[in-house]
Amino acid sequence: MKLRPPKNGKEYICLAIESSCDETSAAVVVNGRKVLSNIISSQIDIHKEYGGVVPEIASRHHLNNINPVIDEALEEAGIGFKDIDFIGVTNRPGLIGALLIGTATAKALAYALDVPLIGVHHIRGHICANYIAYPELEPPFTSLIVSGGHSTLADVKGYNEYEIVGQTRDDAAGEAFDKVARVLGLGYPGGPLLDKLAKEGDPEAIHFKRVYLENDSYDFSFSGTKTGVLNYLNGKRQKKEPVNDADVAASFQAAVVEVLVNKSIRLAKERGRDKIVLAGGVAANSCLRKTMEEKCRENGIKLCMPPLILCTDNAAMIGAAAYYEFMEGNCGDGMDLDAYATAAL
Amino acid sequence: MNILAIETTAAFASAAIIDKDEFVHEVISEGNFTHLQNLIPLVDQVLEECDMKLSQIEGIAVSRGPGSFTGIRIGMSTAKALAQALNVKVAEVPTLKAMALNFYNFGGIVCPILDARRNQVYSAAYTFEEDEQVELYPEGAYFLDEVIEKLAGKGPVIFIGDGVSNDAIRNGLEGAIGREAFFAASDKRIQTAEMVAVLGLEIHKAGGAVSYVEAQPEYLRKSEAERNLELKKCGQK
Ligand SMILES: Nc1ncnc2c1ncn2[C@@H]1O[C@H](COP(=O)(O)OP(=O)(O)OP(=O)(O)O)[C@@H](O)[C@H]1O
Ligand SMILES: [Mg+2]
Repeated sequence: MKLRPPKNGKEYICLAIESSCDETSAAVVVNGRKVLSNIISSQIDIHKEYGGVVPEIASRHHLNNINPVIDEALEEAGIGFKDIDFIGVTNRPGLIGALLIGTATAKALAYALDVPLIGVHHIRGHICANYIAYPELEPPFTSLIVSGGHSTLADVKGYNEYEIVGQTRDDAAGEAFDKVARVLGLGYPGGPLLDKLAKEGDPEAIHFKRVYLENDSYDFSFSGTKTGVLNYLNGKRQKKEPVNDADVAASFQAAVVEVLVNKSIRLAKERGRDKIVLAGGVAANSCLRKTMEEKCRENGIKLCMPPLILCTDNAAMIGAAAYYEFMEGNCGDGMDLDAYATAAL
Repeated sequence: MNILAIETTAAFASAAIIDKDEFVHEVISEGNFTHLQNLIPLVDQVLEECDMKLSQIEGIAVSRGPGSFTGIRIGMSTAKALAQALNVKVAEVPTLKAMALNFYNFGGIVCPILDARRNQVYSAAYTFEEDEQVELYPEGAYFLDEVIEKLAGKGPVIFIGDGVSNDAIRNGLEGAIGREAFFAASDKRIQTAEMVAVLGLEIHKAGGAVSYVEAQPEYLRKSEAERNLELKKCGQK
């Protein structure tokens, strides 16, 4: 298919849809960078009771929420269906039942409106959130993607060219944060609560293992650090010694962040990249932001970190990613587009 | 009124159009549980075969469950989004009621049985008197014994739906109801969009169709996590 000119003659307007986990979101994004609306309906309070996202419940709520969320996105953007040039939707990876709702909805809309449909990789979306936050940002750059399901180091060579250089071998960073938060009895979702508690603690109080793996490896492993915390807590409990939860939180966080930051800087230097771009929900972590900022400054590297609202799941980032695929000549997946629980970046 | 009907609650997806003359045309997917991939292409195909454009569709009808949870959601989200874009209404068609219509001339009780696992079936039962479909018991998730109790001694019953393909269910029914139990042939027992279109048109005509925001699935069952949480809360009391 050939690129069609934009309907208004000037700019491409994308309706973007995201439903890969527990947020139902729709956004209107112009030329991949300008966000006219970004509506996010979160189910966090519903899943709290269960201590984690329940796929069947998430899917049911997506189905209820998605159409009003789309209406709201159009209304806030001040446009109608007739103004849309193409539709972008997260179709991989994620909870399959949740992805299905966004994907089926996007397909039906694209078919009825007769516009191209672009299936987007969720993690590419997280990276592309930075194009929204930094209008001047262009590839190449080094990207650290840290979320509930991913800890990935990527060399981003072009808008649609990603090389994965490192990945977690066990827990994702967000997962490790959530698990440690749970044993500290902080509730769900644990990452932000642990971050908050850590502010009152001493990051050097306890030394938890930093796992760097082989010398040249860019992979991550956080389960050892996590187990270190569990062992420490059990030891204290057996000896009936008091535990300073804030110190544990701060020390654990420091151990995870140190590895994330050092590997990111090393990759940027090795590849000669002068920018590091953070992405994913854990990029909201205050210690990661602060430490990364310091280290980047020391090394003369520019750091991009999206505002919190663009770090966690949202459809605007999907609209950015879809735009660059669209420009590249991917002018539409077929109407047989499917959804996938797992997928390479 | 031209109505587009969608059925995705069983293993095979299908789409149908019922037109102004109440003529129904249907297409059925060959793919097993590949509804997300196949549904829009099926819709496209049925429109083309009817020589119709999507813009000529004046209402949507969707099989709203019970059935496969995922299947229900693919059909329902597609129906809602089509209705949203086309600015038309949605008929939430009860799956069991529609599939029973296929056997209106059986001359006895028509009983859809869908395998709901965990020893249960989704079921309802109907008789057809003159032009009316009369409900013997309402749709629900039942243990097989409950279904048998409701039907034994009530005369001939034809069982339809994927539950009939499950040997344990079939043997259970046959054992209890004996010579009065009949089973739909394997190529006729699965629900398809044709009757969803017929019943959907009725709902539209009667003013029972709703907006894309209001349209709701009917799972007939809470999620396992919700049930477990309720049990836990009961236990604590
Ligand atoms: N301030 C914070 N400090 C640490 N972790 C945080 C913070 N804020 C959020 N997180 C963590 O980020 C994760 C959520 O991020 P995100 O929404 O990007 O993940 P996801 O969408 O569930 O996973 P994925 O994108 O990999 O599918 C959770 O694990 C959460 O605990
Ligand atoms: Mg995410």
